[in-house]
Amino acid sequence: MNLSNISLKSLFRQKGKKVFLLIAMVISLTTVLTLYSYVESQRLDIENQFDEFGANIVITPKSDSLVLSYGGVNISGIVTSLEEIEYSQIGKIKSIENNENIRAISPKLIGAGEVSFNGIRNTALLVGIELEEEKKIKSWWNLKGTFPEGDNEVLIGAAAAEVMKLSIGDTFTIKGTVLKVTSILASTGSQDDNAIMAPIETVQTILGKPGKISLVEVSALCVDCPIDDLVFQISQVMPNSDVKAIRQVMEQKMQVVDQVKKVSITIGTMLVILCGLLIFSTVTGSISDRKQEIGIFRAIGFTKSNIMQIILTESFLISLASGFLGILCTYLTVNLILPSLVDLSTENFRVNIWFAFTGAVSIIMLGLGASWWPAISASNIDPVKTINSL
Amino acid sequence: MYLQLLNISKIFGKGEAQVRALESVGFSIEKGDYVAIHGPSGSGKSTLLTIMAGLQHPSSGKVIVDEISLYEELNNDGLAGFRSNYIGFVFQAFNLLPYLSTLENVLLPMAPVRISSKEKREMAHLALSRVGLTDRAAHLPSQLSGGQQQRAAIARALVNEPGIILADEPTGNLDTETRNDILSLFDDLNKAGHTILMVTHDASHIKAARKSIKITDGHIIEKEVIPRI
Repeated sequence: MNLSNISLKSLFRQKGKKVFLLIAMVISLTTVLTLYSYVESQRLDIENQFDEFGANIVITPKSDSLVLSYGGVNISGIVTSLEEIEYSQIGKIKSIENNENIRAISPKLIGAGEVSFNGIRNTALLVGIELEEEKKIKSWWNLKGTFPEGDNEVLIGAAAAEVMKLSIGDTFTIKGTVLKVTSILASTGSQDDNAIMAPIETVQTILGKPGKISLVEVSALCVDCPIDDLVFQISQVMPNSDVKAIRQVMEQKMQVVDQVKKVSITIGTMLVILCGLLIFSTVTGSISDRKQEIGIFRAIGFTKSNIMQIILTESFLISLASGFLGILCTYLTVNLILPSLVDLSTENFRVNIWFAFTGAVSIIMLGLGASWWPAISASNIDPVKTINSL
Repeated sequence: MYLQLLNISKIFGKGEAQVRALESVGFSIEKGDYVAIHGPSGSGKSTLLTIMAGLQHPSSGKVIVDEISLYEELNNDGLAGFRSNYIGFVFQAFNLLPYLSTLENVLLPMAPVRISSKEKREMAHLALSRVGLTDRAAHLPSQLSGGQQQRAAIARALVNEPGIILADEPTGNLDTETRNDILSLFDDLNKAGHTILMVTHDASHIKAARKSIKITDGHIIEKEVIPRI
């Protein structure tokens, strides 16, 4: 028999209260760990999207004039920019110091042309693209038909197809060149919906601009990459171009994740406070019920620190058990329960073992911290007042 | 002189609510004595017992045990150590812990003591054998009779081989037959060399002791050596 044995034996008294406390601590830990796992999964998803989509740098010809366009609406009749970039400049992008961060370089030539189909004429936006590079950058594209392969094959946006009554397999002429529709792009909500996209060499020929491009979209692997450094390095090798980083969409997503994170931290903090109060009140109540017993301990020679050791060992054992059970419940919640109840649309929803370990250690510290004051008050119990017969 | 009380006074409360529980009480006890402190309820017997046990500071006066002045030389931990090493407590209400077996209750005073588990168990079994409860070691207190519970409490008081056994109305909750058994057990322990100090309000217990001290209203009014029959 030693002090730990007394704590262990005492644990199995007032089982209802202790089981209730244990359940509350397990739920608190499970909730905090699950929330963290979810926020972490969202963060990882966004990082992956950065990697996956990442058309995050746009290179356009340098211009001293203002762009007279707002929200996609151009002021009619005013020509805003005529400058173009030489296609041969693209090779320089691959020579920058951080070139290993570049995943795709997609040059574009943009112009307008009159489309003639079934006797109907429409002026359409013509975009020359490098097919393979464009596929890397626009991985979210949903196409009907087959991706263009030949020089005279094109894909067209949903809105353009509707306006010009074009379908897959149709052929039309533009500035005397016959082009065949091999695929139609489902609506994206972007300017791609209005465009006819053809191989860049074809468009250069149609527009009479051989070796010219209007802009370059660059996809950089961007989780850890220094995007500002990439912009600077490209600017250095292409001094006659404007190089800009596009971060808005991802930053907005990150803001949403940050907000979810803040809400999670708030909920977690409230749970921790509630849990601490519950431990405090349970231990205090338990001590109140055991005053006589503690009085006996003191009368037969236990020191104040012996009493504290007994109380804190009990709290430690309950906290330790809640730590283990909390981790177990988190694994069950994350891997079985939540995925079966909600479509989380993430492949990264899993428990971080180090955070789980930290959570378990934290709940033990919380258990000991919340029991500290009750343990001190227990050690100060006056045996003369609490032992019945004295 | 083993235990000596010098001019012990104890005052509770302040001002008009002040109560003088003990007034200049003094006596001494030798090793091997068997002393009965008796008097009516509220006379100050139990207060005196708690002061002798190092549980309650006197308002004035000294308690000297083995040449150590308890409240002058020992701090809280020191007093706890004194109780652990010098005092064996026997309470009127037994005060066994209901969730521990008889053996574990007897082991309780040794829980903070750093000796091997095996040694502790040997000492506990020895204490149980001295009170005749070897066969009840595994029983819970609720499975013991009143007399057996008090025997277990006495075994708990004996297990550390204390210098003095302080018993506070040890037969107060027992029937006559069981009471005589317990008194007989105290007599045996005294004959085996244990110093016993028993507080009682039952005058019939006094005959079992060797000395008696009568307290009334916080004053010692009579000290008597009882001849052995």
